[in-house]
Amino acid sequence: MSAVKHGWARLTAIVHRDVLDREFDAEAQSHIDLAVDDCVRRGMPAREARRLAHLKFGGLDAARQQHRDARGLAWLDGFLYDLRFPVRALRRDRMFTLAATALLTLAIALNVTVFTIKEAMLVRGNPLAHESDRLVYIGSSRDGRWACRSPPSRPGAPRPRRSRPWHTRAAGAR
Amino acid sequence: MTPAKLDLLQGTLDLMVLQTLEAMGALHGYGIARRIEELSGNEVLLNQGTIYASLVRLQQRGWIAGKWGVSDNNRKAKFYSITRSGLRQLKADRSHWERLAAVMGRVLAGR
Repeated sequence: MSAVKHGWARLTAIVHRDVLDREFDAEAQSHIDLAVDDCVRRGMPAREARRLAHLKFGGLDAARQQHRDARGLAWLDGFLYDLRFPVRALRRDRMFTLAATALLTLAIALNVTVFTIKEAMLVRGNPLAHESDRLVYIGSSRDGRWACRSPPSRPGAPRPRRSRPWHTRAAGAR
Repeated sequence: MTPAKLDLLQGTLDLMVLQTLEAMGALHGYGIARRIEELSGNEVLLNQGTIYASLVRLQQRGWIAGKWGVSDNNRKAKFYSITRSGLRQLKADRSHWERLAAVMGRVLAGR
């Protein structure tokens, strides 16, 4: 449960980036003020106290970055940051964005169409292909009789069961 | 030549912060940093700014809680205090650390 809460806190930290950055800045400022007060109380000149306070705090930007890395998801934060540049560029050049989008749309639509047709014809194929012994040709001979026979099988395929002409079977059944 | 200050191992700062808050009660970032410096005899290399990364991490885990208040000398500051789950974590981390230190001591003493 606490892991979920922790994960949620880190995720929302990215959304509330500015608020949390301001919070850090306020804390850092308060830290420096407290440090200066402390040194001045011990008799240090204010200027020297301020210098020392900043020195001991270390780099402000580095500390802010550490704060961000600790509270958020560094990789997601970086990814969103990287995403901002292309989005800005696309927004600036409207015509280019429009043309690129239209072209991509057409290309994808064409691909989908071709793939659907090809898939139906080649991949899914005839649903009876694996039961080829149930597949027959039906036709009428020139003398008006109906006939039916199995399609020619591929070499190596099992011999079709019903290879007799239709009319002979029908005659036998009667 | 004075020996270089100790670099903190990963995670040790968090443990130091928890321990400090348990011992001292509510304290602001500067107070925590000062206290750690004093107790370590200034042997630890600590950019005081790094303490805030530790504080935000501990806060997100729910081990400490922070609240803005006013210091003795009338400065606005955020005061942190350890929570109940923080106390549990401190106990676990402390025993882990003591075991690790004991093992390291034994291994380094062997010849």
